Amino acid sequence: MATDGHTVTEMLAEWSDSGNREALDKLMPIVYDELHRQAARYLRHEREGHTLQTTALVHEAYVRLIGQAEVRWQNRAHFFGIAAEMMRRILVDYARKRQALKRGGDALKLTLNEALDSSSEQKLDLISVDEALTKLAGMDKQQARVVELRFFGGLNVDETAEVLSISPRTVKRDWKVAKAFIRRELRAA
Amino acid sequence: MKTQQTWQRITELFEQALERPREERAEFLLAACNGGPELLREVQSLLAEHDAEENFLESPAIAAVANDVLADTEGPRIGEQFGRYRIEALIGRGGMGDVFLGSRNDGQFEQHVAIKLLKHGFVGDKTRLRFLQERQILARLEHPAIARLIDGGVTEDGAPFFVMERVQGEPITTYCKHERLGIEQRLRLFLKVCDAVEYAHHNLIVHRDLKPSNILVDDKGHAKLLDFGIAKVLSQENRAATKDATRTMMRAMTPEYAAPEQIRGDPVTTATDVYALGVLLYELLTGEKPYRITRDAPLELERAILEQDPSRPSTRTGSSAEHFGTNSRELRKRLRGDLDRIVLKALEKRPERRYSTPEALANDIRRHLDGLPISARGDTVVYRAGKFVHRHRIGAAAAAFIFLSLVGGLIATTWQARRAQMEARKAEATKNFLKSIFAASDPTQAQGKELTAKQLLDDGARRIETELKDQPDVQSEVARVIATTYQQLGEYDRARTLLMADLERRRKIDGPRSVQVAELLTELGDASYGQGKYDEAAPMYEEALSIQREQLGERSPEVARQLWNIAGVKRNRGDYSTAEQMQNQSLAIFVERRGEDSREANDVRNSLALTYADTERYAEALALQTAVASWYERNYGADHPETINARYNQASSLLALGRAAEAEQMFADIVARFTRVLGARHYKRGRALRMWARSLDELGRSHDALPLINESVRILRDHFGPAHLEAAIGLSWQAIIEAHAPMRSEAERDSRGAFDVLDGLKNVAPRHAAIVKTNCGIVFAAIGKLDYAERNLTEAVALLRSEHLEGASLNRAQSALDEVARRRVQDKE
Repeated sequence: MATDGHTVTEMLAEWSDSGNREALDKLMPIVYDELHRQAARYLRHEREGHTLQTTALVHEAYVRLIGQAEVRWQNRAHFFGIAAEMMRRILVDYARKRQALKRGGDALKLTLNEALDSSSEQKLDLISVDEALTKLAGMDKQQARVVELRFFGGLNVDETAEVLSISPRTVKRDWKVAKAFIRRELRAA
Repeated sequence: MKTQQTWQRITELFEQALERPREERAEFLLAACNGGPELLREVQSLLAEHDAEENFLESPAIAAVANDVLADTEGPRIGEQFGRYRIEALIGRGGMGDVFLGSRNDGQFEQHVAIKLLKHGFVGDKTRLRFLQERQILARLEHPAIARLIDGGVTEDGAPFFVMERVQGEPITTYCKHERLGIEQRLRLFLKVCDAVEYAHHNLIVHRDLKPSNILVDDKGHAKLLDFGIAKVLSQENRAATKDATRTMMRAMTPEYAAPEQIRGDPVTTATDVYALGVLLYELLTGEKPYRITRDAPLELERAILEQDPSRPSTRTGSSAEHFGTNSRELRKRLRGDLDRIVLKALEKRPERRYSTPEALANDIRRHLDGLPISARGDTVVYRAGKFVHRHRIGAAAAAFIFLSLVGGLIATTWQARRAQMEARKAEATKNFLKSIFAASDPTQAQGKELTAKQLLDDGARRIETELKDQPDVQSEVARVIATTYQQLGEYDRARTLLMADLERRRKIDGPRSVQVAELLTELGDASYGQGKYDEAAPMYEEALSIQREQLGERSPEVARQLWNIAGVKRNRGDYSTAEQMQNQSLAIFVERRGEDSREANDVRNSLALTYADTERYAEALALQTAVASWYERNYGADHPETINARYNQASSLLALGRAAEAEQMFADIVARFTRVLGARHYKRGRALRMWARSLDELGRSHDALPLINESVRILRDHFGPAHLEAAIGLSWQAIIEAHAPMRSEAERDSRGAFDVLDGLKNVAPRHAAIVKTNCGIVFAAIGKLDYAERNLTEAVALLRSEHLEGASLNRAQSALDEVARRRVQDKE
């Protein structure tokens, strides 16, 4: 994080306590940058270049964050907790829309997509992951949160531990069992 | 669904089992589950999933949709509207992005451009801002050998794009091969490339990605450089990234021409371009690339660039002599010695050992061509590296960082440009000081505060006085670097304060009547003149002139330049006779010292023509303008913006002299060229359209003129805003043409509109106000509003007389007034 957590927290507090627009204006570019940085890091890693739409995704996250006016941000960790939840909603929405589009047809586009998809490895079904995660949350909220933060929020083990106020060791344990559960759910589906 | 308790139990057993060696797990579970077959099955299946794939979910969700994103955004863009351009065809694909042929159709004119869509871009709001600043800097580059940047922006989905002049030609290396150019011809062509790069460096822009495919030669043999500054935009996109990302990007960017510092991710400076020029020269002279590598692997090439010393060009002439129209023995002989040394010096691994500027490289080649000894022979002065600016790599994106790197880049290049003139000791001290300014941008020192670029520079400027007070020479250098950077950021007042302080210092050290003081005074004068502050500029120029007369002699080029400067001030203040006199003196000296056809003489002729035009001496203006325009055309080509400007001036005088048919032809051509070169919405095209419309109107073709004047008013209003003098003048001419059409109600509406705009403006020059009032008066007269007409025309006449403008404009106003008087008499009868 570029600006230290303290400043961000202060700005968050100022905004959510008083509804001060100026504080929000100052804050948003920083939030946006951070979300952006996460997205960029992985997508660059994953695939050179084609990053256009990611920006739009993060943009959407940003817009939704502003919409969360009633949330009282306690601190930086809290904020990124919320951000991960946003990313989850956005990404799953995206996957749903895309699925609907495929079903709807547009033969040319479909062919094109398939041709391109064939080169990439086995694809992960985000919608099923989302459903499995909801199921997991019914049994163990913390495990589900760990997945949400790590998988959707892009946080690493230590960051996740900070957000949840638990030890990194616990994060690792929760992560393993949650992954095994989700993977099994996906294969059963 | 299992209960929370059951799941908790399952989780515990799963974790305990994982802590045990694999072969003991089954036994452990059997005991632990103790007859609960469902529990056992549950834990075992989870363990199986766990063992099957460790990597599951390890890359984040966003990576999982990356491919879909790719599929959704990929695909043909042909026919798509891209900003204001329509994509016609894909003309190239590269590591940095795709290049499209674009066209823009504004009714009657079609402009073809090249559109480069960058694919590495992530664009947030701040980056967007910086990108726009960058674009402005790039758009300033106007050089015959540099493809112009016409426009640029960010697409809806966040990718930066550049719209550039379309250049048709082949890469310089291919061109030389096809044309079988000999060594001398190749060197001459290469010198043109050096000049263009040098010009860009003076404008604080480093190319960073020079290579044959970015240097095209057209069928007339003119070289043009593409993609200036784009690599910099790219690398700043990756600002938050690590060295890894830099390396990845380098791969996208043709490593053959990359300098060692680029491979290492070290700061890029003007010396980086010198290196790339070295690689290019190597290839032009030998037909080979400098490094011999056994496999076509990027890593091996990178290692070669970092470690391998390239062989001398004269040892690499084996296969390609026929492309030079000679044999390899001759070729070897030609390259051995000077050219070997020049090339190898440009290819030095350490930037400070290379030629410090493209000009230095070019000078050595010129010397070689002239048979003079070259500087690369023997000892080289070792300059310390200019690695001070980009040193401070900040891990994440500090809010200020973007601005810092922009300012850093400006400072770095400014300093590079000055460095060549400094002695090593002074250079070192200056570097250290500049470096210390940027140390403050290190987050650990900034203490959580975000420093803006301005604060940083302010801080540096303050410290000049205290920390450097024992080193006046260094003080001056730092002050000038920071002042130049301020000017780049539009902080003219701060620049001025700094230069004024330095002036005082130089007066004490070098003496009040020294040449150095005169130079500094000229710089200060230029800064004020550029801002339109003529009253501030004048005394600076005057003092500099008197020093230069005393120290350098009456007939020195410096004196000529100063006379020209002062004449500019005089003309802008309306003192035309003094301006004319000084311009004539200046011209005489330049012709004597620099030659009849020199740039300096041409510049002065241009100014003198403006003085004549301002005083309505159009015949004298026309003679000079014709000469100036053909000078530009000879030196820059017919499509260069300066050439077109000069033609515009020439045609304006023709129209003023009543030679409307000639003017009409010229303006039609000028409008077409501006459309092609500057774009259809450019204000200069707007003005040219107005002149074209006026010429047609003058020829009695009011109906042809109407659409043109309408478009002109639209363009100028968009550019300057509706409450600007340009809008008033445009509307008043539109009204005149409408009155001739005849379209009385439109004419009345527009002349009133023009009048209203003029009424709301302050500080309008009398001659401009007179144009609007004359036009309105003529229109009112035509539609029978004689009272209005008389009032406006009387005011116009008074204004012109007060300015002693007693030429064509006065005649026009006066005769319209006479006409009104005649009509009154008729009405009475």
